[in-house]
Amino acid sequence: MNNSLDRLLEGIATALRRDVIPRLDDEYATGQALAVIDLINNMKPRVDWAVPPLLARATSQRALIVELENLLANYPERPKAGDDFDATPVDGSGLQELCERMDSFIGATIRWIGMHASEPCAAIQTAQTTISRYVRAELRRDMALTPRPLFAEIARGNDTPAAS
Amino acid sequence: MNAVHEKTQDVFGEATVGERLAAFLTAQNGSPTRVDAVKRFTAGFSWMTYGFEAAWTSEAGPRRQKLVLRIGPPTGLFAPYRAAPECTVLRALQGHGVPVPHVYFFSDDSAVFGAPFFICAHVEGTAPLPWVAPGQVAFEPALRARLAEQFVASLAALHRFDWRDSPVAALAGAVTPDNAAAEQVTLWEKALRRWQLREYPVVEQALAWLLTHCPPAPHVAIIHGDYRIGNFLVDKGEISAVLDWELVHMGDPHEDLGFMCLRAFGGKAPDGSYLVCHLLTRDALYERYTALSGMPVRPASVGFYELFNVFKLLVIHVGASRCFEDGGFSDLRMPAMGAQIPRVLLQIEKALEAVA
Repeated sequence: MNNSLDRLLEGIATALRRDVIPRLDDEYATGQALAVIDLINNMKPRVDWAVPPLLARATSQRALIVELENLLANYPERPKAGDDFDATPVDGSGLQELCERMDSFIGATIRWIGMHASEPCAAIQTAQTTISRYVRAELRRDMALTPRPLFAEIARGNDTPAAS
Repeated sequence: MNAVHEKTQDVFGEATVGERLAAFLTAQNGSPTRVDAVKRFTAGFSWMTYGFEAAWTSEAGPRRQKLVLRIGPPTGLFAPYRAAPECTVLRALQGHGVPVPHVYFFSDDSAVFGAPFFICAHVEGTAPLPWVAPGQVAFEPALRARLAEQFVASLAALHRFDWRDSPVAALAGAVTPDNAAAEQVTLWEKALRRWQLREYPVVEQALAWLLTHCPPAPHVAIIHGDYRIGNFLVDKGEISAVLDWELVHMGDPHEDLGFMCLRAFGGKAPDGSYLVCHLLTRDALYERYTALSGMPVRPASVGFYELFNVFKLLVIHVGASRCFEDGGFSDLRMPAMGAQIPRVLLQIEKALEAVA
């Protein structure tokens, strides 16, 4: 997910209260929408991102970073891995932040490699291949958590399946 | 609730918009103008779009007309907005082979609606969407063939349009055949850096490739920037209007071709062949476009712009997430777009693999 959990929950409640409920003309439906807001308010202090997928991501990121450090050991000017990459927060939000810091490091390494890509150096070529392999695996892992979008239904403003 | 957001919602509510429209049109028409049937459309994630009817008395007698108002809200995805580029292009293109709505009024001044806006003709028709249920097709064959020909002919006419002697020339800036691609990549990279809440390694890989493989353009043309199924209206079996010109700019014609070719907008024909925008095969697109525009298509340039355009789509998704995160909008379609970022990242990886 790309938004913070707190903002998502707050935004859902706000949209229901301001944009949905005023347009409902059925008391039962209004009651249901208000119950959703009530539940969201109760969930907010209790829920967090799921730990297992983040833990799996952090593990592959660390493996990639170690591989890159070894491959690029002869380039002292390369981006350096953070000292805190080995720490493993136990909560989802902490893990999410750690994964994002490691992604930033991987991004910096990709940009650094980009500046040296024309050099006939086996280590740099191998680093590129290693990163590509990691990226492929991570994208597929993330896609497994991403359901089909409801863009057609959202654009049409109704819940019927997309038709020809 | 975010105070700026609450204020934005009130200002752009249908009742307030209707009152302001009536006052504005009365001043413009020099005759009392009634505005009714104001309805905000659900489609569109950026400019706010309203349909309405205006009634007034002209020298020829009572008149009533369906019109469309578009407002670029200050908290919107691409804010701050400007109506002038889009409206200048739309007016210049009238009568030049591209079906576009007639623009009656536009302004980048926020005095009337609190934001840039324009008012244009309502064009009859429905916008076919790129999302079709599995096993279904978007168009039956005869309609598909007709729309495909019109869709390509409109694009060819747009890219053939001689903008140098028109008001559009003022929008051209310093774009040349040699820098057209780099200008766009740099522009969207800046947007990414402004909006991103986190980094995506595959995006850094794509950017590194794009920045070092910019192709020269055959010529500088007006680029729609969002030319695809979903952004044209169909009425009585014909394309009645090409819409959503907010990303219009000057650039390489291959950019629009690359955008059309994105897998996100395509679909399968009953025989299993892949159709660009559910309309025609890639080979047929290249062949008809070349015949109608006089510009031979360079497949390598289309490939470059396919990758660039998926990158651009990603930036738009990132922008939607950011817009929501900052509290400017609580429109839940924004984080819903953000939730689909993994799908766009996968498309980037595939497009990069195809060109690199």
